[in-house]
Amino acid sequence: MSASLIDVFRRDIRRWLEENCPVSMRTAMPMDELPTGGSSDGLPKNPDTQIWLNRAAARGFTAPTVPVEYGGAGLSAAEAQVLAEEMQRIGARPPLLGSGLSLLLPALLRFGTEEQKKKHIPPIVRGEVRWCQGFSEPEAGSDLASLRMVAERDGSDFVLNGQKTWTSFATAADWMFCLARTDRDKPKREGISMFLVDMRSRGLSVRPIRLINGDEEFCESFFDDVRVPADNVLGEVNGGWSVARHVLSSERQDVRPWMEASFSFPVVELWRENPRSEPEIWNRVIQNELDRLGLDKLMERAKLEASRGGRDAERFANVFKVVNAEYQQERAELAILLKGVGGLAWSGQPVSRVDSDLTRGWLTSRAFSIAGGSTEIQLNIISRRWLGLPVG
Amino acid sequence: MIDSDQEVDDFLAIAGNFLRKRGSLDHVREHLTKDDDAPSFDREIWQTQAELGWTSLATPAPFGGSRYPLSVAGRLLQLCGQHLLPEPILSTIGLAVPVLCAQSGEPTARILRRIGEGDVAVAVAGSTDMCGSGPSAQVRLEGHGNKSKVFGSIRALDVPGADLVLVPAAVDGGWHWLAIEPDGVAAAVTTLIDGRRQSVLEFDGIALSAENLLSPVLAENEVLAPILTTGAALTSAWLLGIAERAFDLTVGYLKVRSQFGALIGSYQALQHRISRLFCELEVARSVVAAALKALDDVATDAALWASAAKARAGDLALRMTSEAIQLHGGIGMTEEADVGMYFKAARVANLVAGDREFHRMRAGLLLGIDRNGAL
Repeated sequence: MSASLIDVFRRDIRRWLEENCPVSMRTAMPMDELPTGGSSDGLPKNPDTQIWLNRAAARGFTAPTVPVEYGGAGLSAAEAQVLAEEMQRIGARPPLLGSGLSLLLPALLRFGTEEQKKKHIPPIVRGEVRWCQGFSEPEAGSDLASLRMVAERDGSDFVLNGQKTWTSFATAADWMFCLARTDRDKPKREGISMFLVDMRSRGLSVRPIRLINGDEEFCESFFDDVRVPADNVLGEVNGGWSVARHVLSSERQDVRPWMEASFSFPVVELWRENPRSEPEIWNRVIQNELDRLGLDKLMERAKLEASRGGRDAERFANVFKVVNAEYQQERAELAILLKGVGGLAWSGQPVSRVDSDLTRGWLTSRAFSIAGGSTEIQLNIISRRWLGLPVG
Repeated sequence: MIDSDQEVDDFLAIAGNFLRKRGSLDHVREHLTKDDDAPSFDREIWQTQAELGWTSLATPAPFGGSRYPLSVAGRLLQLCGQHLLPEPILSTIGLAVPVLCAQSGEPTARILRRIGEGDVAVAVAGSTDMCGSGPSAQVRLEGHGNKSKVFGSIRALDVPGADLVLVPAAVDGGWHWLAIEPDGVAAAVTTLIDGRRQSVLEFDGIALSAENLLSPVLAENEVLAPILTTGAALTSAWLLGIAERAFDLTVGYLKVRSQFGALIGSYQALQHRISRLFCELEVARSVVAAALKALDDVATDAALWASAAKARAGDLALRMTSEAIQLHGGIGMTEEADVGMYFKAARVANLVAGDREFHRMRAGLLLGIDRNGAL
């Protein structure tokens, strides 16, 4: 696309955003206003969240590069970049977030049948259907491939039995994409399939897990003879591991915008409000800001590599996951340090929502080096896959 | 400016071949055993490097320089850092040329041309003594016009060896850059741990000519700016090269050394250590590239990126080379293993154009993170 066409496109986008992005959607996003979509959550706290989602979805801007036939905007990478820049310029919140959009959708595009794409992608893009991820099990965390949930063929269905854990937002989700073992005789990675499961299925029950940050978004899900039509296998039967790897690499690449949108630890502002005199703190604030700049540049390289379709995009994702988790955790620690004991208040008066979000966000930050493939798993992958070190 | 990325890639590929042909680091080790007063590099090889276009790389085309953007000089210095080049390429194109390019006038233009032709190697005095308090008046220019005389003492890396040394000299109301031939100046010579020579030059009232005076009176924030921005960004590329090579040597060693009946690279404790360093290496590559691009773009935040890159590359090179010795074990402590050479070179390069602590603080101030109520 020529420079002038891009300029025209930018002008159009700018005008559209000006007219359609509600003013309250151009502010920092509190934790209880995340635009998660789905059918079961009731109305979002700020009605503008839904208005912004609907308007963006109508233009396909919730999934800018997804083809128009599936409800996306069909933008080129360059156009999507313009949209992102223009949204960033006015501080627009993402109109939609969630694992359906960021994790499942890329895998559907890559592995889905035409029927699956037509059935599942448009409701994701419109924010009508909310998905959760059923990967981990009590005995299969970092060692995901050792998962035990069983799926046995019975006529035109598979029958699923077992237990999933860390299924985020399972109580609010409409559908789950989950991994189950379809062949127990094969090596562990070759007997796994990916299933698309309606959360209303008989025999499927969910129990929330309370976390140190007070959240109950993670759940345990119990499968007791849950029947799933064979048409709902995503990818090949016994080919689920490659679908899972695709999802996991999306998860690593997706984590930054989600974190930026969900957690803001305003370290420099807090430093200015409460200038502690210890040079060590000053030094840590500077180092953390320099880490932020470094991660921005690492991200730029990663995006460039991804747009070239290069194999190294995954390497960047592994590296980014490790460094970003540490950076965010240090940032959260610094924010809490600068708040003093006020950063440790849990409830009662006077704990403002901003302060409470900060405290809970800090507690949540401990999960950044665990969820989505722990730091240790990333370092294993880097060692073996990218540095070619021998397997023990 | 630049014909194509391909042309740059070809240029750097030729440079890489030249560096690899020298093979082992024995030629660097040799300089450690020579007399302190002997230069730490080979004049003929310097001439060849000039013919390859290295010495004119950071100079603008009107002064006989190259058509390439400055970032290419950074990428060359990164390669040279990987090979611990003993010739004073970092001093000459990484520090002296940026200082000269910030001045004007015929003497400056003449020196730039002579650098490009390989006729002179140029050092910058005081470049290993940058610190938070700004330039200190180590050298003073006294008297007026053609009666000016130079007094004081200052350290200069790559002297002996360099044919000219650029000296920041204080006068009433500011600073001048001077170009002085170190031959004949009293000097106390030290060989540093990496084989590089350093002199403390003693000026006892040598007379100054128009040829020596490179600049008008400069304000304090102007005089060192070319070193602290362009020089620091280019030196960060050199440090990155040192870290890269130390990393490669270590990964290679982990794949061949066996203990307890297994290759040590198969032990997870060591895998995680080297992989974590790889993550830091990738971040540093990103930041150094950003600093070089900011030079090319003459970006308003080039100083910030230069400091961010110098601080990060310094952190990385020091940590990487320390870890390289540890991961090599006892062999890493031997003179025979190359990692020790990289350990030592990293320490010297960290001090060039401002060390990591200095640049971290400078970056913080440029980011507007003031020390507020700090003690």
